[in-house]
Amino acid sequence: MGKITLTNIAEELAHKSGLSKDAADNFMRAIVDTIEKGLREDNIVKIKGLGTFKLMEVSDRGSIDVNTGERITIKGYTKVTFTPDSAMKEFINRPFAHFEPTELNEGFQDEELVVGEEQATANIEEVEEAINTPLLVEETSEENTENTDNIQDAASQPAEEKIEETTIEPAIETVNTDTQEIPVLEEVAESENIDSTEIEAEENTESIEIETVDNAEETATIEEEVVIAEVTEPEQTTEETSVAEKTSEEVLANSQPESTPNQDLLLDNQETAEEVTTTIAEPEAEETKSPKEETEETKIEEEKNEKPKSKRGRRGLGCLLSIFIVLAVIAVYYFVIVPTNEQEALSEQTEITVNPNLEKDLDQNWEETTQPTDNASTDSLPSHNESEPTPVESQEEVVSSDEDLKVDTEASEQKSTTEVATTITINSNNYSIVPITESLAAKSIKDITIADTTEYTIGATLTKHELKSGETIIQLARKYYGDKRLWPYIVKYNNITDFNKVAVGMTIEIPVLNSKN
Amino acid sequence: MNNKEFISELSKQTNLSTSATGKLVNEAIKILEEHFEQNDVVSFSSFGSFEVKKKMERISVNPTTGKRYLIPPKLVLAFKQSNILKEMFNAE
Repeated sequence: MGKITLTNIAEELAHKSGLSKDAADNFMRAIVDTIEKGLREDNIVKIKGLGTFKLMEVSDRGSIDVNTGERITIKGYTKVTFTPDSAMKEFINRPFAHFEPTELNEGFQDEELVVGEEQATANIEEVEEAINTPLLVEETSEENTENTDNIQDAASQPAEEKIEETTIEPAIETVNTDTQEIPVLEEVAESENIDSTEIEAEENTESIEIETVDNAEETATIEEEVVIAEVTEPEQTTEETSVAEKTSEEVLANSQPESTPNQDLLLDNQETAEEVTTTIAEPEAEETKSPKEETEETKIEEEKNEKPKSKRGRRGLGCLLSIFIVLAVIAVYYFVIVPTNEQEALSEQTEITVNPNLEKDLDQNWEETTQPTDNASTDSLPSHNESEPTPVESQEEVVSSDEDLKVDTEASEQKSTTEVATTITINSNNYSIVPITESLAAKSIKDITIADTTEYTIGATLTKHELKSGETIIQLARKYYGDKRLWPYIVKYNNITDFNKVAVGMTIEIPVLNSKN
Repeated sequence: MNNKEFISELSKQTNLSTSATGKLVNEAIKILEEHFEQNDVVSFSSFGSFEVKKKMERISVNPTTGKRYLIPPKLVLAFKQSNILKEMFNAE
């Protein structure tokens, strides 16, 4: 590979043809001259074995000067083009001659499309995650994701729950939102009642089929809400996509009953109903170690181990459906969250709820190790309760981890009672939890605000700041204190009732903060 | 100007017979081909340069049938005129 000139060609020609070097050189120059002459006369020169030289008119064209940005016209000119003739073309392309254009089959197209879709959903998932773990929770959530994937998902669940509440009422009045939880929890308790009674009935007769079908339909309607609040799965590996993947998995589990005959529905519901008992019974069994409970568990597990096979087969069917539902969920999510400016408040609350979830996670891990094949069914569990089930579970975990006396008494009750009795204890368990979590949530919210105020004391006015369009109190906190978490001081100092509704032009007094440490 | 005219014109310039000129031209083209084969850039100063370029494979769609085709890579001979040649035809 190098640059060959006319003289090089002439030398080789002389060597081959026996001409003198000068004669060969002259001959080569004559060729070039003749081509030029021919172009001038006829505008076209055809040489056999080489190709065609042709004069082409290039018309004027507009352009823009790169430096000045002015419009300029590049004047048209004449150009010599060369087209190799077919013999030359084939000779040149000889190394690649064996290639032929191939028609691409449908499979290739599909593959491309699927890849595109995955990327799109992945992007959305990333965005969703960014919302799930905003500003304040950043540090904590990062730590959590490092620990386990499940925690993060769990953290996003309470966040999701809170969204609806916070949109209704401003974040400062979180105490009120707690009261809203009470009916929800009661609902959960009721729905659990239904489930547990189903177990009894199911053990006695199979007449429950109709009821379970109804139940499945109901869950389908509230799918969107439930999906968000569902329990985690251990299979997930990547931290970023874990949230969405889990939800999709869970949607899958939900969508399966829709596409399958009644018998399957019954199976599913049986499974989930059993799950209700096991998940509730397990923490207690863990503490009490009552032989009855353990035998019960193993019995249930045996039953379950037979079922997942058919379930996994149906996974592929629900896969596409799940993607759509996830997208729908995301859309709803955006409509609810984006317009409101309450992410900060939201994230604060998630911070609170992380701790119970940690404990919950531990318990879940335990569950998962004991029932490795039943992940899908554990996920579908909450979908059959008509309201958000996670609070209940997490509360149970809280109770169990706190080693509350109530649980002990209930556990002792369980020792002496039959299965029917267990359902009763479950109910009482739920009701007894309600006030506990209420106070717990309220307490932890207070903790945050108190913790913040105890760190610093508010001094005199440092400066005054007139709010401009687009500014928030949080931005001010960041600007003046270098820490956006200190916004409550500004809110407090200025007696702002709703920090989301501050008017443009409002003068905010920035207080001096003295650290107590 | 076709090949015949080109040869006769060339023979006039070089004072050779047309058949001899034809042979020489073919010889010259063979030499050129040898160089193209080795990916050489053959440049005639004041005229232009020949170069073999590789065109990458691409996916093309037949607009009438909508079928997609994979067009394989290929080697093509490209000619780039020199500035002298360009000015020669744009002087007027």
